[in-house]
Amino acid sequence: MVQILIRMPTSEDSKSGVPDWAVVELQGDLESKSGQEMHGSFVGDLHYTKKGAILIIGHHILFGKTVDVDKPFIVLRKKNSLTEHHHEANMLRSQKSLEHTQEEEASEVSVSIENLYDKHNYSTYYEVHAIVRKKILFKTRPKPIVTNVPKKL
Amino acid sequence: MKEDDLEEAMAGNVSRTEEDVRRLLHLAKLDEEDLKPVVQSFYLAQDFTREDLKLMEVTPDILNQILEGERVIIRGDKSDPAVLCTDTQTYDIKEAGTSNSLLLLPSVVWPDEAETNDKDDGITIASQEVAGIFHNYLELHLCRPRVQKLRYLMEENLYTGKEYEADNVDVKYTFEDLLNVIQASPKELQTALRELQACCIDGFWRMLDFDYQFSVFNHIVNLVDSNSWPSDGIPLQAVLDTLEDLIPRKILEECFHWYTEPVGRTTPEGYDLYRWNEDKICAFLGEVILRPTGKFNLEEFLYTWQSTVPEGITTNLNQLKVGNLALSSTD
Repeated sequence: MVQILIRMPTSEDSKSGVPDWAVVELQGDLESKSGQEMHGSFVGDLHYTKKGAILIIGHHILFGKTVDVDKPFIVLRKKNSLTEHHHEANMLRSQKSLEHTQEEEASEVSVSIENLYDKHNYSTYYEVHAIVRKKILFKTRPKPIVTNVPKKL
Repeated sequence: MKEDDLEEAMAGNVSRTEEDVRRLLHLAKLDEEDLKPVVQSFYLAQDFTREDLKLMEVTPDILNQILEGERVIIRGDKSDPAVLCTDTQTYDIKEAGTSNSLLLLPSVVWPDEAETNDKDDGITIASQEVAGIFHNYLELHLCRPRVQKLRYLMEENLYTGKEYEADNVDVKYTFEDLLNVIQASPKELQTALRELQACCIDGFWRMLDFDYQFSVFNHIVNLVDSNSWPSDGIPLQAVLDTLEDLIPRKILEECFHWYTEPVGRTTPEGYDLYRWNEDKICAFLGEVILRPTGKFNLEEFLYTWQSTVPEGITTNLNQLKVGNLALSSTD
């Protein structure tokens, strides 16, 4: 069995604690129009009005607002401690492998341990990289920006 | 106005200018007057498919525990559904998918920070990086700890007496060993061990062999009898001191507490006094009687049972619910 620790960064990693990050939530997917590489590319402009937020992405305009998330998110960063010395060696293996009988049906959405650690790296742990407490939520469907005036028939 | 204008307004991996921003917002038919002066331009990071990052939704409570450095651990066997354990609770970890896109931003200007800028009537553009785009995140659901395995592990090597320990090479588990193989929080594991009446002997958690447990019980009862202590005035200290050569003190103490309750008084020297917990003793002795035979005629059982319990204690069938016994109508 494995034990994967979730920990705060050590003082060498971060001088001033864990930063607050933000989430911008919108409907649908971001795609590259021309199939180009998206890395580093411009996504859109975010404007604030008195009441809320407006996001212009591609040919679309989205309306939304800033909200506190119901439950905080933590952004976990996978790390390994092969090179670090920690008393709680983050991945402890039991001396014998036990017969395991599944007590309940694994539902489709359960996350198996295999998804969370590196098979070949027995010291995986997760560091809290950031915390998300607020998000900018764009609930409405994106509205297309109309640029062409239809030709007269 | 053509499609091209929009393309142009959207172009640029280089920093956008005020003009670029204005052009786009005009195309979108927005009036600058309605907007706050700080505008944020989002750019995807060079590696925005961050395989090394995961989003997990937690509770404020769990977040606090992590921030305070308390142990929060994901536990499980290779193909187990994963659970997350704090010091006191266990949660199922599930992956929640969403058709929405979650853009993760290390830095954002919030509305109340976007009010003023350096320029009198210009706009300030803040470039913000999108560190990653997510379509799912991990969710936590409070669940019961998976402690069924514990009894099985404890039964692999029952404690049968001091004399047999020197040759005992079977597997033994410390508390940490158990946390390695049981998907539970430390507190839930402690509760489960207590319910199994396990004892910590030389750092290892052991369940007592049933017959051995009975012999320990008998030693205590006989000691009480031979000293003529009243059944509601039993001094724990004297029991421990007298019997500890025969039975490890830890075991004596655990067993003693299983079958007694504090009276709230002490001896003149200040040692705590206890009395028999009738229900627990009767349940235990009921099991002692039924174990070897499995089935017992009700009348005969009741008779035997009553004559087995220490003087002054009365049996009654309801006590059997305290133990692991079932009453079948054919008996």
